[in-house]
Amino acid sequence: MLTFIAIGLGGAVGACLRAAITGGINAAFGRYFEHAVAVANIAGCFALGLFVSSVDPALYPLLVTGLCGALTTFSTFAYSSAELLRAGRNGRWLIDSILNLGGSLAGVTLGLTFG
Amino acid sequence: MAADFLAIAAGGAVGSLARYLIALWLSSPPPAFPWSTLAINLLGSFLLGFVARSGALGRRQMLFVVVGTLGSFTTFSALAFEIVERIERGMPGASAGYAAATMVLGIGAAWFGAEVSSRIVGDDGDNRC
Repeated sequence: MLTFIAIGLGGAVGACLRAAITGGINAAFGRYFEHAVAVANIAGCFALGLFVSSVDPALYPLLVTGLCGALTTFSTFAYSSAELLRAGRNGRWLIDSILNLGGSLAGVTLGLTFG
Repeated sequence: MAADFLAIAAGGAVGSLARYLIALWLSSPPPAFPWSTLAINLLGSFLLGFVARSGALGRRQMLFVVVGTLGSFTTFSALAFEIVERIERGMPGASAGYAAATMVLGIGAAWFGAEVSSRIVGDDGDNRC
């Protein structure tokens, strides 16, 4: 039961952080910014690397499954990619894919190194 | 503003718990290939494409379903960790195959979900999430 509460709590906080990050970036740009989700994904991946290498596994449901799982997202990236490709904005899609995938892999690796 | 974040938080809790339960169900015993994360990301991408294109939900419902629930149900951090884990274990082939499968099938799933939605709703809108 405690595991469920921890995941739900971490997920609630992670989703709000993601919305705050993307909302804040969009507001700063004054328009919808295509790579805002990549920023949340990279931050969440870096945090996951840090947590996995430094916290007690008992905290994984809260911090890893909940917080990092919800702070990062794949579906929003996938739909945004489909829309960019549909609009023929292939270059923008390529940049976004490199930022999300490359940035996330670098984030996890750095997190594991520094944790 | 507070109600917006409440909708996102509730969705985040629901989406994360659903991801945990599906992963628990699909990955016991732990498989060599991370099927559960792949299945979760594909299903979530299909559903997000379907819902986002339909235009059926109001703004706050979108925050709960799309940003909160589906956004949190799918995950990039588990994906990235599983890719890095396989590289470190000397499995570059499995790692690249998993990354490529998720990217191609995931974008395809979102595209397909949106297309199915367009056919049903008959709307070719350009809703963003």
